[in-house]
Amino acid sequence: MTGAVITAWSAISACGVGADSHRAVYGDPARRPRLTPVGDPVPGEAHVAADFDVTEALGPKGTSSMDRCSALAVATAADLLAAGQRPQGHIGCIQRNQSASGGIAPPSGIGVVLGTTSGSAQTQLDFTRESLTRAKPYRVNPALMPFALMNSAAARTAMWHGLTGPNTTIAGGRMSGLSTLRYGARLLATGRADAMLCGAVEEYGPARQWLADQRTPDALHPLGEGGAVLRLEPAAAHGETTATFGETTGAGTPALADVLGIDTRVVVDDDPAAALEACIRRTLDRAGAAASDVRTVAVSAPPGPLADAERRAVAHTAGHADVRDPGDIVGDTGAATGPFQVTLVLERRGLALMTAADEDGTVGCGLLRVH
Amino acid sequence: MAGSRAHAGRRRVAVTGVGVVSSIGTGADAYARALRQGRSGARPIEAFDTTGFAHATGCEVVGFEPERWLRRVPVEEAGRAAQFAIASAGMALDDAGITEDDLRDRRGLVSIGTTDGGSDDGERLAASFVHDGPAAIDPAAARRVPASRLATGVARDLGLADVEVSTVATACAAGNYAIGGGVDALRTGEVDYALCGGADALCRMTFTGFYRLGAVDPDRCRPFDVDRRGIHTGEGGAVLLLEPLDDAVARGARVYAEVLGYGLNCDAHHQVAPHGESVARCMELALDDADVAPADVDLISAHGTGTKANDVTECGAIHGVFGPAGEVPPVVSVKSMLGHTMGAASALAAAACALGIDGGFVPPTINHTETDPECAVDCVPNTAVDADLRVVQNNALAFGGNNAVVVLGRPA
Repeated sequence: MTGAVITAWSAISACGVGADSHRAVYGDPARRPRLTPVGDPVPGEAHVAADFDVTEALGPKGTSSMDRCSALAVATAADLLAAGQRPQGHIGCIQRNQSASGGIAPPSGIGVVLGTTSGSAQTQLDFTRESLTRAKPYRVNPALMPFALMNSAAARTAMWHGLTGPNTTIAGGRMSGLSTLRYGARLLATGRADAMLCGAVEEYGPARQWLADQRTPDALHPLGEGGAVLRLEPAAAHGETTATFGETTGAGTPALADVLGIDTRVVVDDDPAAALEACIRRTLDRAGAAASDVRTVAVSAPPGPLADAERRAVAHTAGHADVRDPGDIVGDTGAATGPFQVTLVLERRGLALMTAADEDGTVGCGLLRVH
Repeated sequence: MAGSRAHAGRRRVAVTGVGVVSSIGTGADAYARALRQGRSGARPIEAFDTTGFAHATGCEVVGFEPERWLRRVPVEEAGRAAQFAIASAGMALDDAGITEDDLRDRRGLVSIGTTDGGSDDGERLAASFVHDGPAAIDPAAARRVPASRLATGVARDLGLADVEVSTVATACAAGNYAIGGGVDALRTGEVDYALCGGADALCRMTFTGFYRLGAVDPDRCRPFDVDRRGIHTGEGGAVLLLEPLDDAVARGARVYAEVLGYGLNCDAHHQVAPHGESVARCMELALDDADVAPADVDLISAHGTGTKANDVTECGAIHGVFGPAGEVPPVVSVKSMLGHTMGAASALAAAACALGIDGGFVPPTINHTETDPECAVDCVPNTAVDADLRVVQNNALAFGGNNAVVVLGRPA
C-alpha cells in the first residue's frame, strides 16, 4: 500500500477536453477520434488535440509564447482545482498573486509532479532555428527560453493556479505515469504535500514527429497529443474529509482508486518481458493479491518490439484480464501514456494493473484497486 | 543538534561515496583539492560554435574520456550528460569502496537531476533540420535525446536491475531534488541505497538564452561582487552514494556527511525571477526537516549564480531567515569556480559541502573584488579557509520558481 488514493482526474486529447469527453469515447468505440493528416514539413497522421486552442482555453495574456505542453498542463490541472471551471479568458492566479500582499500565493500543500520525454521539442527547435537564422545568434525571443526547459509545464501549472507545494518534473518517458504516482505518493507519505497533481503532457508538432520517426520507424501507433492529470491524496486524510480540496471541489467525494503498489526495474539482460513479469509478480505479492484477481490491464504499447515483450509479460501473468491500450484511442501520447492508462482502468471496478516499458531500458507496473 | 527532537526514530542517511566530473577536477580527491585551491574552470567555449557572440567564456570539461568510464553501455548510446552521470556514479561507488556486485541483491534508487538532458544532441539535430530539412536524420542521436537516459544509463552501466530510476528535470535545482528524492526513499525504507546527483553537458541553447537575457558575464563569474554581470555556463556531473547511516557505520564505511534533511517548494510567481519570500520559506522547510535552527548552520552554499537578480534576492532571503549580517554564516558560491552547471550545479555543490565537512574547509568564492552591499554576506573571498563545519546548507533555485534546499551535517 502506498497510502495514496486517486480522487479525480482530467484529460485533454483528440477525444476532447475534460474527463467527461474521454469517458464518452472510452465507452463507445464508434466515437474514437479519427486521424488528422499533418503535413508540413514532416508528413504524417496523428491524433491531435484539435479541440484545444491555447488562447481560447487560457486567454491571450501570458500565452503568446507558451508551448503547447505547458498550456495542456495548465488547462488539464484546472479541472482538478475548481470543478468544471476552466480558466477561460483570464490568466489564472498570476495577476491575483502578483498583486497580493507579498506578491505570491499563500503557502499551499498542493504540489505538482509531471512527467515528460524531453519537454517541448517544438519550442527547442524553434529556439535553435531563431538562433541559427537571425543576423546575430543571440537575437532569439527571450520569452521562449523558459518554455524550452523541461520543467516549464509543471512550473507554469503552479504559477497559473497558485500552487506553492513541491513542484517536480520527472523525465520518465513512457514510465512517467508510474514515476509520478510513486513520487507523489511518497511526498504524501513523508508529509511534504497534502495533495499532489500527478500526470504528464505531450504536445504534437513536426519536431516531435521527426524525432519519433527517426527513433522507431515501425511505431505501433501514430503519435497522439494530450495530457492527463490525476489528483492524489492520502487515504487517511481522504477518509475523514477532503480538507485540501474542500474549498474548491466539494468535500467528501469518494476515492476513485487506491494505489496499492508500484514497482519498476531496469532491463540489464535484454529480456524486458522477464523483468516486467518480475515486477508484476512482486507487486501482486506485496499487495496480497492473486494474478487471477486482476480484472483490467492497461498497456503502454511502446514502439517497436518492446510492445510484444510487454504483451508477453501480461499474458504470462494476467492473460485472462480485459487488456486495454490507450494508444488505440488517443494515439501514442509518449510520456502521457501512463496517466491515460490510469484513466482507462478507472472505468472498471476491481483490481487493475498498468504496465509500462520504455525504449531506454526500464519496465514497471502499478496496481490499483478501483472503487 | 543534528538531530532527533521532532524526528526521533527516523532512518538517518549518510553520504558514503562522492563521484565528480567537473571543469576543475575529476574524482572526489581532485575535486576537493581544486575547491581548496580556488581553481577556476573558465575558458573559451569549444563545445559549440560561438561565432557571432561578443564573448563566450564557459566552464567546459576538457579531456573527459567516456571509454574510460562506461563499462556496459556503449559510448555511442550515451549522450555527454549521460556519460558524466555514469562516470560520476561509478566513481562514487569506487570512492565508497563497494562494487555493484555488493548492491545487486539490495533494492536501490538512481536519481539524476538535469536541465538539458540530451539537448546537446537535440540541438545538433535541430540545426541539421534547419539547414537541410527533415530528410537529414541521425537516429542514434535522436535516441540519445530523451532525458530519462541519464538515470537509466547509470543503472544499466552498473548492471543494477532492481532499482528505481528517475531523471529529475527540474532545471537548475534538479540536483538537490534528486538528492531529496533519494533521502525520502531511504527514510521510508523503500530502498537501501541511493545514487543521487546531477549531470549536464554544455548546450548552445542554454548559453544563448542566458546571453540573450544579458545574464552571461563577459569576464569572470563573480557571485556577490558589486560588479558581477552574470553566469558562466558550465558542465559536469556529481553523484553521491547515500546509505542508511546505521548500515554505513556497521560496515565501517567512511562517512563524509549526514544528509540531515531537505525542503522543496515553488514560488508559483514568475518564470525566471526568484521570489525572496518563497526562497526563505524553502530554507525554513529544509531546516525544519533537518531539525536544526538557523543558528546551528555553519555555512551556506548558495545558489549564487552571479546574476544581479539572483544574488540580491537570495541574500535577502538568507537575511530573512538568519538575521542581520552578524548572524549570517559564511555564504559561498562554488559557481565562481565551476560556472553554472545547470542540473548538475546543486549536486556538485552538495558534493563540495560533503567534502568541506569531511575535510574541514570552506570552499571560497573566487574572482571576488568587492562585496555588493545589497548582498552583505561574508562570501569567503578568493581563498579557502579551514573550518569545523557541523551543519551546511546547500541552496538551489531554478527557473519556474522551483526551489530545493538540502542540509548536510557532520555525523554525530
